[in-house]
Amino acid sequence: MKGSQNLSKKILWCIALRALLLQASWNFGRMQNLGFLFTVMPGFRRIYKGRQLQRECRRHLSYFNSNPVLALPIIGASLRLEEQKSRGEDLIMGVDDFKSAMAGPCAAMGDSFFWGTLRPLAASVAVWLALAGNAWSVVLFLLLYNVPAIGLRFCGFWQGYRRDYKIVDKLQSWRLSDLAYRLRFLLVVVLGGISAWVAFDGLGHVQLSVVWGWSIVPVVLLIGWLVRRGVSSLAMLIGLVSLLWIGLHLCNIVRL
Amino acid sequence: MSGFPYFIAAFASLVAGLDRTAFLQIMVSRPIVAAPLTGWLLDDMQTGLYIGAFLELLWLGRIPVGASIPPDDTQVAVGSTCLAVTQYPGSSVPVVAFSILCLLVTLPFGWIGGFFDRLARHANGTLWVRAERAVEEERYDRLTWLHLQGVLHFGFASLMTFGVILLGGLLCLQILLPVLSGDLLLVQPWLRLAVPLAGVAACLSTVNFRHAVWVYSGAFLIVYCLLLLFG
Repeated sequence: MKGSQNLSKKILWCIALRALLLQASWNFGRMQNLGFLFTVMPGFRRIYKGRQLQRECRRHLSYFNSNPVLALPIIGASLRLEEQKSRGEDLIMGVDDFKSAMAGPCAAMGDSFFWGTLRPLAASVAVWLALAGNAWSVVLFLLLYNVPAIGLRFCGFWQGYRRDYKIVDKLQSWRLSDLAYRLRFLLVVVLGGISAWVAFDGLGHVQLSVVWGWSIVPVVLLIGWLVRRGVSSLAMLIGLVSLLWIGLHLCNIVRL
Repeated sequence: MSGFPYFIAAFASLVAGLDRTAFLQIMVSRPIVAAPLTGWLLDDMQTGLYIGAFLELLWLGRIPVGASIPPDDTQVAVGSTCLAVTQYPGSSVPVVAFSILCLLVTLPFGWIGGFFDRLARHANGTLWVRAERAVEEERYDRLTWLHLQGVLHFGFASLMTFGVILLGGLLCLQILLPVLSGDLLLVQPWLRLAVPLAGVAACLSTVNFRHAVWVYSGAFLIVYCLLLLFG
């Protein structure tokens, strides 16, 4: 049985909002498979009926995993392709092949941009303000991260639905990898700024000359190098605090 | 002592824990949000803000790629803030040093969060098998319920992790506080200096940027000079 109607805006919005629960049933076996089917189900029930609906549902319970933000363009494009398939149009590539081909690159691009760059950058700016005691840092962090992330989620979904295969060109035009590299530069600058501010403020509290501030950079770089070489950040922190404690005792600053 | 603050903190733990994987992912689960949120609910946002800032820097670079599960910084943030607010012994002990102590005693329990998270994901593994059965029987409404059961699994994992962190942290605090409380006042300024810098170092080590060392040093130099001139 063929269904030929386009999906209404109401159904599309329903699908886009359901995608906020994409990872709710994340599992080691097939990762976001059930999440994908749950998300597109209102559309599928409109496009397919009877045995065909059953067949398509079974098919979409196969393995799927991508970044939760950039999964939305894949979901949008897959829906459009399912619509075209239900109308009997010839597809250049099967929906399953399209999903598999897109999931990996979108996961890599999304993880690198959202988890590896945007989130640390937004958080480091917020941390700087939080260390200065500013409670608005929390709101600032949420805005800095969520405005682009939620914007790209929904924009990606609609673009995917409009463009089907051509969403690949759109994703490329966003140049997220280049942007991530530039934002990482900004992240390192912010980390340098935080260190300078903490050193300037902290040295005043421990009543040491500000000249000692210049020793901060090599110490931070040495600790960073140790962490990069495999020392756990937790062990590093506990070790550092213990050394501090012992050092202060040895200097008789703290009474025994 | 009333159990009400712990119920409030458990609520924060549930909300933040669900945001971590199962629902929304609008970053309420990040320590910089989860800790101040818990602090605000317990009427001490400032303590939450400090804990959130220290913890965020420390585990900022850990990202959940594919099937990897990083330590549960969300529940550490909620648990350590809850401990710092509810167990604060009084004005003789400095707030920031006590908050850092609470953070240090709860941090190792963050790794246990990975165990419960894995358990939830294994439990979710049965859901898609049941979903396949539901599809065979053409009971499509059941798919929604099966998917949403995953939220319950993740919620349960969050609460269990929070419980372990709280109990473990409480036990460690009972042992360490009598020994260390006398030193906290004098150590506090050093901790305020060392802990954020250790966090910056941990974060810097994860940044994948070619000239990070030079850019970091240059930024430090410029900001430090500006602070010396105008600070």
